Amino acid sequence: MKQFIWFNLIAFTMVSVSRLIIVPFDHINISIANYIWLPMGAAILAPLLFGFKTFPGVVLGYFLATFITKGGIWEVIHIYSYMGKFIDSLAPIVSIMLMRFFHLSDFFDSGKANYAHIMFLVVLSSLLATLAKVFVYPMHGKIIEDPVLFVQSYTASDILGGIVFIYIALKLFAPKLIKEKLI
Amino acid sequence: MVESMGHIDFSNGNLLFLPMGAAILSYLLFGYGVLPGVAIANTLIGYTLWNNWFGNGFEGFSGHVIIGSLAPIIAIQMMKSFGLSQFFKDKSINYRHVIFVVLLTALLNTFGKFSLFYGILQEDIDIVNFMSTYLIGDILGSFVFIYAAVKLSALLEKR
Repeated sequence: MKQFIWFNLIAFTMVSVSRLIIVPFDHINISIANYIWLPMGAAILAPLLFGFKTFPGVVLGYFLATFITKGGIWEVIHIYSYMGKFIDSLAPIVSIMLMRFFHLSDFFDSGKANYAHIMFLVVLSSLLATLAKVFVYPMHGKIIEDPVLFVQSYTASDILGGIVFIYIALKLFAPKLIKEKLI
Repeated sequence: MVESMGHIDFSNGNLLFLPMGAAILSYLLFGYGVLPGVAIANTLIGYTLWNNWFGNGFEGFSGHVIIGSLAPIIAIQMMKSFGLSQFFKDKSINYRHVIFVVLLTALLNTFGKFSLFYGILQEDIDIVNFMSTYLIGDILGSFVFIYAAVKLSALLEKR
């Protein structure tokens, strides 16, 4: 139980902090993504290192950051933002499960990160997250003005942010993670 | 073969798009060198059966032939580059990896075609319909074609 709370707390901090530090790069139009969406990396790294039980921590981290940045809950645009963040939390888990099911996952090998597989996971998570958002967000309404730009910018930002976050986090914390036998 | 199941324009995909499976299997078996063959076959279908890509001309050609022929190559090459490809094992097909390449191809093909077609085609595109029909069509068609082709070749080999 103590480990569960500890891991979720780390996931919560990773996601909320990584979201808040990229606020200056946010676009006023929701059709255009923040081009370096670091929280995607945090949302991927948390289940990768600590298991799927970190899902609540990731979701709460996203929700808190969204609440701080958007400043509301009940307006239509806010509801879609929260739904989008729920998708962003779920997509990495679905991708990891998919890769494991198809015997395509070898993310860590005796203390070394297998960047090829991790990068593939980032790409897959980004594609699935964007696809799910296409089905959830109202594409013909006033909220998403340009669906093509939406698809392209959300995919690119998730991939870029995911790779940057994971690379930096693994470089900085590799000794600690090896010591804790997490990789 | 599946023409009667198709739609009369590009706004909805054919729900059993067997040619995608044929393209994937061709690249897996014979390498990327068969790209001209796949592209010519796609061009013939689009120009003759689909009446110049339902009247969309070059835009229709770009989406159907260029993206449709290149999506499987990009997916296979992505899996190879990331060290994730073992499509054949001990002279038999590794279905897990092949299914995965089908899923990835369908995703890339759908996103690619949507990015190109949206706003330039003559007909209106409903994004949810477009994405779901193209995805399902590519995935289902590829599964059916590859499974049938492998089973048929095994049967012929036995005889």
